[in-house]
Formats: sequence, structure tokens, C-alpha cells
Amino acid sequence: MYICPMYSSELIKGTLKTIILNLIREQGRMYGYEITSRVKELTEGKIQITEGALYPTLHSLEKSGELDTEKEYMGKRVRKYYSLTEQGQITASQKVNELNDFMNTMKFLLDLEPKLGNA
Amino acid sequence: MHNLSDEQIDFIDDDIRNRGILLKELQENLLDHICCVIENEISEEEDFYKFYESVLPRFFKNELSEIQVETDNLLKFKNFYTMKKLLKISGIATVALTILGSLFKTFHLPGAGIFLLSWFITSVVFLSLLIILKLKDNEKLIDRIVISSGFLLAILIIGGLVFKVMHRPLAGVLLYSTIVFTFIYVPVYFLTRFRRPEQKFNVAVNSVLMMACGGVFYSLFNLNGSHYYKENLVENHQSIHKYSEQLFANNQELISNDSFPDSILEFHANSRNVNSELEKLVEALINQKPVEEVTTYLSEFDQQVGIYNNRIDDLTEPNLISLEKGTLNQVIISNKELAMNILARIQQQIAVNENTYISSYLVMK
Repeated sequence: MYICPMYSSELIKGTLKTIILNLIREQGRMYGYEITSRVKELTEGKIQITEGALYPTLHSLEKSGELDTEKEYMGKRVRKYYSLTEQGQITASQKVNELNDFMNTMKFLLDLEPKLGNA
Repeated sequence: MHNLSDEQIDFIDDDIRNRGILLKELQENLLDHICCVIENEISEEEDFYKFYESVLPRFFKNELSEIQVETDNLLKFKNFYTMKKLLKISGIATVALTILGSLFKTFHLPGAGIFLLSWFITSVVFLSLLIILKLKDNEKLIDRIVISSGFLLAILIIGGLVFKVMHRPLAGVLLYSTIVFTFIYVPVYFLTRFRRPEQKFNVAVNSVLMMACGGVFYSLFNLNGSHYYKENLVENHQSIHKYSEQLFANNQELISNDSFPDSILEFHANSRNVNSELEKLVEALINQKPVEEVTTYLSEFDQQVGIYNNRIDDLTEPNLISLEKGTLNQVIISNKELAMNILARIQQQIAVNENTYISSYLVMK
């Protein structure tokens, strides 16, 4: 699903929707190429979203009412901008909170941070 | 930044389509994306076509149409949730309608038919969704086929039950599925699963329960067709009919050989009228006329029975017995032999009443 020079696909499987929704929430509206470029830039190439994973996910999010689209005609090309719907805003927050909670649990579980009260 | 020409854009557009991207929205997305990649990454010296060929493999593992397949799968997954929701709703509705339909039918309340028909519809929706979801499952093919055919048989059995309760034709044919279910499906279900250690116990329990249910349905609906029972009914109504014919002939002879008051002659005419309608109904049943025609004859017969019974009430003769009414409505379509039997008994009663009335007059005289 991903081209991940650093991480195995199993490790970050299931976070694609969260990444996309959160990026669009921060930027207001984005088009496909912009999303892949931004992820690559922000992660310094550690996570690269493939187009084969990006577009099916965008279509699915659009169909489920999380994303709104706006088309801009550029000569012979059409650029489709994606923005969050009200439902998408809620889903984005929920997904980010869920992932944050999961990461905290994993840190605790794998003993990557000192436990409270251990000092 | 390099700007692509219209020809180059057309080339990419055609190529995307030829590589199996059929969804228009996806075509537009990919066209813009590929154009962006090329415009941002190609150097002035590089050849467009060579660069395009080198960029394209980024989009797939084996071929570009994978994106189309993946999109389709994700969109189907969305339907999957809708189907699950519908499954839950139709499941709850089926349970509620089963309870309501049974209660209304048991207490002969109005609306039982509507509840039962709605029960049939919701259960068909519920079981069809189960079949679709089961077929899409990741289980072994044999398991998917076995379980799906079980749900299909359940649809047929429920259809048969509803048709039977509502006295509709085809109930018998649909209920043959209970034989398939009990004697073919349950053994197949058992044999394909019982060797799996993790399922052994559940499979045994499920098989016994299914066999018991199938057995109950089978004994309830398929043993009523015993030919001894049918032959007995036929023999019975034929002998009653013969006896009635004889009695009618005797009554006619008595009427012809003596002079009688108007009240007896009128009652004789009433008897002939109701008997004539009865004969028409019998003929329609014997000739297996359409349901509508039989129902018309039945209503005409009912009308004559009403007139006949009123006449008996007026005569105040204690030995005359009114004819039974309404029993026929319930069996006339669903059980021909039983209907014929009831009609033979009614005919016998008409002949006996006539004879009783004539005889009582002759005795008094």
C-alpha cells in the first residue's frame, strides 16, 4: 500500500485515512499530488504515500461523506481539490485522538517512556 | 518547471484509459497527478515519453488497473456497511413480525395476513443479505456454498409456511424444500464440517437442531397427503352422494304421487335450488376450474344456503336441521377432498330434511 523506505507497511497500515484527513484539515483544501508531496516533505521521505493507495482512499472518503470536492479546469486537465465536510472534521478529530491514544498505549506497553510513579 | 503540451496531455489521458482505468473521476485524478509529477521532476534535456514510462511504475505493482480495482473494493466496502445495517434492521423486523403475525393469527385478529406477508418479505431481505455477505466471505468455497444454500432453503421453507397459513396455492410445492433441507442439506452440512476439531461440537449441536426443525416441518406439512386418507375421503363422499341421490329420487316420487300443500312444494323447490348450486360447485371442483370461478360458485351457493336456512327457521318444524355455513370457505381451495366431503354431508342434510318434512306431513295426514 505504501512505499515506506523506513517503516514496514504492517506498522503504519490503517493510518492512511488519518494522515489524509488531518492534512486536509490543516491545509483547508488539497489535491492528490499535493497530498503525496506534503507527506513526503513533512516526513523527510520516511513515509511516501503511493498513488495506488491515495486515490482509492480519497474516493472512499468522498463516497462516505467525509470529503467534499471542487473541480478546477486547467486547459485539458481537471484538478480536483478535496476539503473536509462537517462529518469529515469530526472523523478527522476522532481518528487523530484515537491514533494519539494508541501511540501512548504502545509507548507504555513497550516501556519506551518512564512509567508514572517509577521515579 | 516544464509545461506539458496539449498533445502530451492527450497522450497520457489515452494511455490511462487503455490501461484499464474506467472510472472518470479516477482518470481525471490520475491525469492531473501524472502531469504534476512530470512537470515538477522532468529536466529540460529528458525525453517526455521515456520519462513518462519511468514515472508510471510508481503508481502500481503489476499494472495501472490495480488502482481501479482497489477503488472498487473500497467503494464495495462502503456498501458492506450499508448491507450490515440493513441486515440488522430486517433481522429485528423479522423477529417482531413473526411474533405479531403468530399472535394475530392465533387469536384470529384482523391484519394477521398483512403481518405474515411482511414477515415473509423481511425474512427474504434478511436471508438474501446473509447469502450475499456469506458468498463474499473469506471462508472456504465449500463452506460458503453450503451455508448460502442453507439460507436459500430457509427462504423457500418460510415462503411455504406463509403460503400454507394463508391458504395460497404453491404452498405444497415450496414445502418440498423441507425434504431437501432435512434429508440432503443437514447431512451435507454435517459431513463437510464435523471433521474439524474446533467446530465438531457446534456442528453436532446445529445438525441435531436443524434435523429436529426440518423433521417437525416435514411431519406437519407433508404427511397430510397420505393416499389412504385421500382415498377414504373420496370413498366417503361418494357413498354419501349416492345415498343422497337415492333419497332425492324417493322424495320426487312421493311428491309426484300425491297432492301436497304449498308449504311443502315451496320447501321442495328451495331444496332443489340449493342442491343445484351445490352441484355446480362440485362440478367446478371436479373440473379443477380457476380459483375465481370456484369462489363465484361458492358465494352463489352460500346465498342459497342462507335462503334455505331462513326457510327452515320459518317452518318451525323441530326435526329440520339448518345447513352448515362458512366451513367451506376455509378449505375449498386448499383441500379439495375435504371440501367435497363437506359438500356431500350438506347434500345429504338437504335430502334428509326434505324427506323428513314430506314424511311428517304424510304421517299427520
